[in-house]
Amino acid sequence: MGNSGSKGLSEQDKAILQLKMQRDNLHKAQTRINLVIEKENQVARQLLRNGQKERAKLALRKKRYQESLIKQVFGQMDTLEQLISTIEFKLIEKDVLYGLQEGNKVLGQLNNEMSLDKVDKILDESDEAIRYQEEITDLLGTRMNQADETAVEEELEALERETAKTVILPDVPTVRVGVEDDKEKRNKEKEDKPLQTQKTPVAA
Amino acid sequence: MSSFEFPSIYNFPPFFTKQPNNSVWKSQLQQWTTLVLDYCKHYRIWRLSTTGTPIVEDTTGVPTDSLFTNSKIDRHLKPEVCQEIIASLVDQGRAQWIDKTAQKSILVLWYSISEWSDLLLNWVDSTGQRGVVLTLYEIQHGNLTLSEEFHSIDETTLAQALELLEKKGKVLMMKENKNVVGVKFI
Repeated sequence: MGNSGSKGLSEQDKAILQLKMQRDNLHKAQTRINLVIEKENQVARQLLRNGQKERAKLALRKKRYQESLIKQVFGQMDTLEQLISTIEFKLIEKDVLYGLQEGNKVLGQLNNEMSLDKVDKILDESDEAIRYQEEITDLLGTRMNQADETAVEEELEALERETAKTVILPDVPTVRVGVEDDKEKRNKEKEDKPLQTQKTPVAA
Repeated sequence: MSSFEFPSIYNFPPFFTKQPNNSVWKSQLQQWTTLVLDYCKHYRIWRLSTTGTPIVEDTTGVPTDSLFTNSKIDRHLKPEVCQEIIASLVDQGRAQWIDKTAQKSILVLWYSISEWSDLLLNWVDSTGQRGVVLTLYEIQHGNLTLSEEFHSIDETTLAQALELLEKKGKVLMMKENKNVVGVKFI
């Protein structure tokens, strides 16, 4: 953290400690007063039961007074707590500011290392390199294309061979059906039947 | 606070008599020490007299009679046996004499000093309080520690746990009139 002092403890730390101790004292006072209020309440009840009205009244008056005290204690505690929180938060802000400063410094240094001329030059160089690379790709590309072309042809043939064996053939009879009249179709069907049963056993 | 659930052996009359057989006594002693620790942990009794009565400022919810006496079965341990059990706790490092020469009462350590220091450190880390100044009172009685096991921890025990942390360089002590009143975890 940004705040340091002797043995890692700063003046602020000591001040906060003092404030917190005051708050603790109020906390203790509050517990004590609460106890007194409770006791006076009990006493008043007891006295009333014994028929000592005046003394019960006195006890209640004492209780009232303690209650007003505890309100003050609460108020003071609140003020102290606020002050402590504010100080602690300011310390954090201080650290944040310190961080920002350091960050700015580094950013400045980095910017100095990247002068515009340098960047221009590097960009130019990389432009050239890119163009060179593109030329190479083009050259290689045309050659590669020829090789690719033959490969594609071969692959196409292979595919054709493969499909001819299986999938497309069953379509053939339906095409013929559209063209020929019924008689011929029936005749043809006789011829086709053995063929069809061979190919699509399920349909037959 | 819910009342402590005693183990069934607590209602077994011979449990309150020192058994003559040495190995039996050893296991009996072991059961007694465990019972004392569990009992004190349950009621958060930090100081216990050798007669088995808790030494507390605020008596709400804490039993005032000795745990070495079971009125239900009308049995109690003899004072010298109580003393022996307490001494055994001290030997095991589960308690410390408050006054070594008098040997009248102990600080009960159901967690060891080093375990307490770990608990403190975990709490500081999990609540993001490193670098924050804390008073000892705040650690003991603050609202932030209400649900922590070390809430209302005995002053001496807390001081020892903090000293251990100081040796490890985890905490800075803040003194006033030579008394440690606050700490800053780093």
